[in-house]
Amino acid sequence: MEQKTWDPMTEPMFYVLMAFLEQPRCGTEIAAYAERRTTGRVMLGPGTLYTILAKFQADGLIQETSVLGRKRTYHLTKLGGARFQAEQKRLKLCLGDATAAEEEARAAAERAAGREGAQWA
Amino acid sequence: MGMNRKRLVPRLLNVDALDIPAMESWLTDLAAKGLYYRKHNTLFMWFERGAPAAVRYRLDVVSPVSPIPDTPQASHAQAMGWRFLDKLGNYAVYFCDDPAAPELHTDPVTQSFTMDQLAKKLKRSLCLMALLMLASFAMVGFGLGLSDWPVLLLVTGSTTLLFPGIAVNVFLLCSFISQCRRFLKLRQCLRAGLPFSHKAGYRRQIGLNVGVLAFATVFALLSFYSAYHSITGRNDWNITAETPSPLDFHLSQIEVSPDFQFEHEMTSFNNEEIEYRNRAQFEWSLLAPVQYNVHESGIIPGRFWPGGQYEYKPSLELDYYGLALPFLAEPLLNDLIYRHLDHMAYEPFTREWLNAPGFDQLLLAVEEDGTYSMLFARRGGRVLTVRYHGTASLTAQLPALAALLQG
Repeated sequence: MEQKTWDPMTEPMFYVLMAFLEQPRCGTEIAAYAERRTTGRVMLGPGTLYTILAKFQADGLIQETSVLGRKRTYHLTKLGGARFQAEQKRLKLCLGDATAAEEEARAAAERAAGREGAQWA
Repeated sequence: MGMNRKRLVPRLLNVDALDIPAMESWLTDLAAKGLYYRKHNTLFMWFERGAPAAVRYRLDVVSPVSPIPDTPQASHAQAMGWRFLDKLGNYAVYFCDDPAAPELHTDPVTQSFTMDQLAKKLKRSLCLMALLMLASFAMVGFGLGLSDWPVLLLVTGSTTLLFPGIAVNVFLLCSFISQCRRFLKLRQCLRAGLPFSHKAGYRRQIGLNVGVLAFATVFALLSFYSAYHSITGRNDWNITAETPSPLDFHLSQIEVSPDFQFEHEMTSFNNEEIEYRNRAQFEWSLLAPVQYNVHESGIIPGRFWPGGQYEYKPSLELDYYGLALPFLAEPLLNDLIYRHLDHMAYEPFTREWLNAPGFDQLLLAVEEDGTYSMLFARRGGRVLTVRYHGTASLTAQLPALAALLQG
C-alpha cells in the first residue's frame, strides 16, 4: 500500500475509521462515537473531523452513501477497512512490545531485589 | 424597513494576513474589549459593539480538505459551539463563546493537512513576486545606469518617485517572505504533532504595517501631487515685451553692437502663433521645482560670421535649475557638462575652470574658432548652463550670471 502523509495515523484519524466498523455514520455520529468510545479522551473538533472526512474520502478510505437533508452519511470502503486493520495491527504490535518490555523490566527488578535479600540474609 | 442594525466599528486590517496565531489573538483581544468581528473589506475589518467577553476566534485554512462549511458541517460545528463567521482571505473565521466547547482542531497533524495547498500556492507566489521585483529593479537600474546623465534624468523627470516606490515594494516583499516563513514553520510544527499557542504578539506587526501604510499614503499623495503639478505647472511662451524672459540675462547684454536686434520667426501651430527663436519655458519637478529654458536669437544686419560667408545671427540658450536638494547641484552640473560638452560637442573646446566671486563652481568652454561658448555654473542649490553662439566673450558677463544664481 502506498505510504500516505497520515501513515502512521493519529488517534483522531484512527477513531474516525473505527466509527465506521459497525455502520455508516454522519459527522455528528462519528464525533459522538469517538467521545463515547474513549469516555471523552478523544474529542473531535469540527475542523478536525471534517478535514479527516474530506481527506479519507479523497484517498478512497470512505465513501459518501447518502445525503438526506442536512445529513451526509459515509461508509468504510475495502481500502479503508484494510487501512484500519493495518493500523490496528501496528498498534497491537506496539502494545505487545510495550507489554513485553514492561514485563522484562519488572522481572529484572524482582531478580535484583532477590539478590539484595540474599546478601542481607 | 424596521431593521435593527447595530452600527459597525471599523479597524484597519493591519495584522499580517497570513499569521494565524496573531490574527486569532487580535480578534480575541478586541472581543475582550467589546468589539466582535463581523466582516471585512480590502482595508478594514468591521466590528460590532457588545459586552466584553472571553471568547475564542479560530482561523481555518480554506482548502479542498477544509472548504467553507456547507450546511450540515456548519450546523454540526454550531452544535459543538463553533459558528462560521466569514471568509477572511485564505481563512474561514470561526467564533466560539462557549468555554467548554472543544477546540476547532483537536489534531495538529490533521490541521497541517489543511495548510498544504496554501503552502504550495505561497511558494509559487513568492517565487513570482521575487522574479517580478528583480525584473523591475533590473529595469530601473538598467534605465538609470544606461543613461549618460542619470542625475539630470532623476532631477527633471518622473523617476524621482521610483525610489520611495521601490522602498514600499521591498518592504512588502520582505513582509511577505517573513509571513510565508512563519506560515510554513507553523505547518511544520503541526505536522510534527505539536499544537500551537493561540496567543501571539501582534503589536509590532501593527506598528510596522501602520508605518508602511502611512509611508505608502504619503508616497501616493506625493506621486499624485507631483504628476498634477508637473502637468499643470508646465508653461511655455513667446518672449515679448509683455511676456519677458524669466531670467534677467539677455543676448542683448552680450551683443553690445547698437545694430543688434532680436530676430523673430513666427510659425503657426494649433491655431497659436509660436515664436521658436525667442522662447521661454518653465517646468516643475519634485527635485527641481524651478526649471527655466530660455532661447533668444538675434541678428546684426550687415555683419558676417568669421569667414564672411553668412550673416551674423547670434543665439543664446539658458538652462536654469532651482533644486529642492542642494547637494544634487554638483552631480547635476557634472551631468550637464557631460551632456552638452563631452557628449554633444564634436569640435575641440578649450576648457577652463574659473574662480569667480558668486560661484561655487564655474567652467567655461570655448570652441577653438571662438564662435561657440558654453558656461556651466552652480551656486548653492542653483545650477545654470549658458550656451552662446556668437563671437563675444562670456567672461565679461560673469557678474550678471552670478547675480542670476543668487536668485
